[in-house]
Amino acid sequence: MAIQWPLVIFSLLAGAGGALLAFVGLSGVLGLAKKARVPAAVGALVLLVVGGCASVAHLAQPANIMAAAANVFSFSGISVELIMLGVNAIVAVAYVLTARGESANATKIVGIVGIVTGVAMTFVVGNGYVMEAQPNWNTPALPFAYLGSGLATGGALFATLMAALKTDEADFRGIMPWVLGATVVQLVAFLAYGFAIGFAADVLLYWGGAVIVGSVGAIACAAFIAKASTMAYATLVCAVVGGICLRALMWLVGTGFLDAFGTAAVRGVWGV
Amino acid sequence: MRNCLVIDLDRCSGCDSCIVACKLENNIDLGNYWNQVIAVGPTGTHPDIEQYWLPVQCQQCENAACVHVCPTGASYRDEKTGVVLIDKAKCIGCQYCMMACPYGVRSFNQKEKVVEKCTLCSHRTADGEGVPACVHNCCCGARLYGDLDDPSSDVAKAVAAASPDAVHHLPDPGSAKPATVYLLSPKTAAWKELV
Repeated sequence: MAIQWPLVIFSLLAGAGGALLAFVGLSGVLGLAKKARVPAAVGALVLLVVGGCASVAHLAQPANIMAAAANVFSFSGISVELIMLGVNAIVAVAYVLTARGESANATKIVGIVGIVTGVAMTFVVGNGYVMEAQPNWNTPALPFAYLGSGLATGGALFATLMAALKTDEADFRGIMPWVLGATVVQLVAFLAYGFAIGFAADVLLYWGGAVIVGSVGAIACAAFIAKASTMAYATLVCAVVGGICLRALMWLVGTGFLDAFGTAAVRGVWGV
Repeated sequence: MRNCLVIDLDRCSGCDSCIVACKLENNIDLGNYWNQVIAVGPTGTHPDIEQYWLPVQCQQCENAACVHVCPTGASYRDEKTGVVLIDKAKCIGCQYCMMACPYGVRSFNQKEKVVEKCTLCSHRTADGEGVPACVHNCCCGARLYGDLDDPSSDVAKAVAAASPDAVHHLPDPGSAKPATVYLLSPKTAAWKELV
């Protein structure tokens, strides 16, 4: 199947936005990087909105998204993605608003809600692809790969914002294990998906892009975030590369169960 | 009610009349198809070689994944006829149904920006009288249309008359339950499971 770039961009940005929101909540629970929290929540909102707009480009007409929104409770994969986009956007706005108020507890509670909804967002952007008709997608390892990608990208993005805002060194020491953990989850999830499809994927995309650069590279960079905050940028670049490669190869291995019209189009034969 | 096609592969000659009839009847755009005929084989070693033709179109799955994944209800099962159809006015062109179809028998109309597929010529058959154009124009009499649940229908009679080892369906990826029946007796060729 051809790579559907609007959906690659959508799932990457929306997943990263959800995970960024989760890291905002996490930093609140840990009492770290206060300076970065509101900018990160705003960044998550931007990613969710831009990601949503990218998905619209996949439709026949952009205005058709209104029809999907009108049937949002059909609970198809697309509908669930739309619902979670809306929920996360609301949580991000609520976080920014409560952070402007005086109740630290309210902000922390909204942040905790953001952890749950954000992590769920990273999962649902991949879960809609699990279907019988696509044997190489029909595995729980696929949405977990999306989850891993989202967490690693969102975590690296939060650390990048911390670096850009020049937060304290102690904050980096506190957040580093979590960002490192997110990149490790990504590596494990990517390997699990590769195993689920028998590693029958483009070698350069899977091993080169998703595993070595995207995951091992991200782990190596994340491990040094506490020592050199600029490594956050490198972690983010690696995670983005890994996320794009994983998503691209997912489309390429989507060969279908029986592709009758595709076979007929090339005058192919079956059974030989 | 299970309105569907029963296709007798012992009779099918691979002439593609069904494809042409479908395109004419449904005014299908150049390059698009709602049905196709695929060669299965040849297999074996000379002189024991066998081959059969497999016409493919929407299999009218009992558990149609295309209906489940459609975010707008554009893919739906008609309550009166039990046929899976597409309401083009509701289709947003997301092509999710094309990904979810196990048999790759849907196509995207680039002009109208909607997904299309075999309707079993519902404009001819919904009243319970007519038959699809591919059935009407099959010069080998290989295609039958009707309700499998009605013992008096042509399709039910054909399936009942066939030997059990000659009754086949396309392979099921899990829970799809394709309704379309293929009749192929072992004397013509051995049925290939394809996956």
